[in-house]
Amino acid sequence: MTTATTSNEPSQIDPKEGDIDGATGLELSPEIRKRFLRVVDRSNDSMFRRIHEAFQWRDLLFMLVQRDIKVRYRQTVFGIVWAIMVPLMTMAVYWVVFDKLGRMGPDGMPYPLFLFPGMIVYQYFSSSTGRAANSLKQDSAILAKVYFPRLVLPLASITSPLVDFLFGLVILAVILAIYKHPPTWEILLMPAYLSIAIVSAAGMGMGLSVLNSHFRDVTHFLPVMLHLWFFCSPVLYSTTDLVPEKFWLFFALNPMVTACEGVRSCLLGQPIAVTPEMMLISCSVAVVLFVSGLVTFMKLEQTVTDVL
Amino acid sequence: MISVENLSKRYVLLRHKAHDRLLSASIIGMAKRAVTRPADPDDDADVHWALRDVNFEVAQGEALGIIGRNGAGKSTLLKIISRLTRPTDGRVVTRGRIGSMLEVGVGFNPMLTGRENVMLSGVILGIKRSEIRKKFDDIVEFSGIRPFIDVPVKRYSSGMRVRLAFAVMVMLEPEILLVDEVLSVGDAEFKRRSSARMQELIRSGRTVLFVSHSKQVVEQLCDRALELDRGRLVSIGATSRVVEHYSSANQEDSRSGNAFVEFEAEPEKAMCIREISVITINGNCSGEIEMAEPLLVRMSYDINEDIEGAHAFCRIETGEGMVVLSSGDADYDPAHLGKRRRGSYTAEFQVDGGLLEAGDYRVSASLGVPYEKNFDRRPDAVQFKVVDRSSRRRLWYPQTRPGLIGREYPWVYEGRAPFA
Repeated sequence: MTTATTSNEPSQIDPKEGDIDGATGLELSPEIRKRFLRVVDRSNDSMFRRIHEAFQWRDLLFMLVQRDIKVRYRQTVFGIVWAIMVPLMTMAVYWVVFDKLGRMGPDGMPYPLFLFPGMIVYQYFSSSTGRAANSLKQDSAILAKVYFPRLVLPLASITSPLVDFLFGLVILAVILAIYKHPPTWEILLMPAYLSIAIVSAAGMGMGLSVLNSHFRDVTHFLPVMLHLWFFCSPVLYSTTDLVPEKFWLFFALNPMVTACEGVRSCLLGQPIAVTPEMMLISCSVAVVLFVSGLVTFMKLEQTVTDVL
Repeated sequence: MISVENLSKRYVLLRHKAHDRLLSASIIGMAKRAVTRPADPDDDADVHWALRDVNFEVAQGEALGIIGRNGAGKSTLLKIISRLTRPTDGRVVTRGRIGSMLEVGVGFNPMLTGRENVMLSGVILGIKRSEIRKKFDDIVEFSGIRPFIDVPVKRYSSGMRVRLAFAVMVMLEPEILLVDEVLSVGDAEFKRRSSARMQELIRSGRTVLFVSHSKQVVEQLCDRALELDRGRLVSIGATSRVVEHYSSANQEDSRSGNAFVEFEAEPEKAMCIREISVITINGNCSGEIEMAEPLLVRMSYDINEDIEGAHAFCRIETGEGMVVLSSGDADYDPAHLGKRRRGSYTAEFQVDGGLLEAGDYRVSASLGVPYEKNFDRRPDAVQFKVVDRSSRRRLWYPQTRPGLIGREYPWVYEGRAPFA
């Protein structure tokens, strides 16, 4: 497998004859010679090659996700139960404040039931983005000492909160049972809507992770932005109830709008509260975020070790 | 096989102000550079060329030693070859999987158990999970910490941690091996085993690039060697010739800024110093020690006659010559001032982390009968720096603190405190 030595020209590097020296022991089979040929120079490897390499290191991704989860719940008294307790407690707080004190939910549906799906989706998004943005800084120690495809770090960061999301689904099942609200076949569509959140988080995460290594402003402004973003997403309220129709298309620029409403409608068996045009806009924005995040990452990735 | 072609690496030195990482400072920096465009890159004082036009080849199966003073660019060269950083110019072509042993204990997380850390560290180093599982027992045996393998690593002593990390690292079996001086770590017994294993790996027929300060070790293990000085390749060829060139070039310069120094054997002296170095627990001999880290002062010496009443003695002094501490190998036990046998010996003592304040230090060593006579003396033998890169205090007190002791002492108020 050859690589470009400058960004424009392909290089031909032929394995030289006489590479194998029987006298000194370790022989390079022609397969290894070809497969593990590397050229390191000032240009970056092609984007495709780097993504492929990240895939080859999926073992590492798996171990990093494992590490994240284990470290989070070790040495706590409740351990993994916190994965359940936190969403429940958050929901209870929102329930009291936004439903009991000022009706925000749709009439006819118990607020906790309405609230929960959107909440766990947003929780996934904000958790992923936050962790991914920090991923390179946090593991700067290993970045500087061993080589591995950097992309694995933000990708691992957006994968481990999925586990929390799954726990959330388990709790949701319990809540559905309590309110005697049976699930419909539409549950199967849920991953499609969730993927909008995953794609957006991936894009944001990749882009912010490299930017964060250069500019520490990111650490300061991200939590605030995610907080604001939360209120701009239909978690506590439904789009149709609170947002005037003329603003809908603008509102849909937030990919979490479709993600939250979509997941909610699937899990609760309700018709979705966004129009197809809004869905299209949300999905497009998600893709744009992903692509721009990926490109930013690819461009700045190599400078990170010099700066961290 | 490795081929290095016209390799250069330039670092632009950023001035460290409190806000040096913020967007504002970067933009200002870019604007400044645009306006005050330097005519010749060499004139730009803010620039440091870690490597300049380095060219060489390593044949398949060859072990090449890399020697040079601290800051000569040895570690940078390995970093570029192992793809940790990009060159500013030139390129490196390699064939075969690359394994780098640049530091022990990569990726260890204190909250995870030894077992979990072995898996994680192995995967970070590039070994597949299935392979780690197969070799797991070997790793545990080698490290000698079997009873503790399921205990969180934060409960391990630093020696245990290093042993486990090293055991994982030596399971790497790549075609190309890049080693930065990690030859032996841990306590005496483990040092022997780890040194033996490293030598085994290096002589196994792989292509090896081996960075070291020690001429002896390089001569022992490497077929060819090259010398770097301030980023440039100054000599390459048969190990003995390159080593000779390096020794002669550095003989006159006693303040070489090195954390490692070797001396020839002098059998006419009753005792003579062979080697002095300052290293971290991980076996790193870069001359820079993080303030919070413990440091080890190692000394090797020969005893050529039957001796009585003598001791080995070291002093750590500041850059200006003020003695900070002194320690001798008979401090703990007066019996050590008795008879000593002939032979070659190596010893070290550990200075706790967080004791020395950031700054430049030097080590002087001597062998002799206390208060009476010296058999061998090496004043200012090695230099090292203590740097503060990770204390919290540094964030709001960016300037260097005066003083020799770097400990932090909490202030306790009686009754009320003035702050919220």
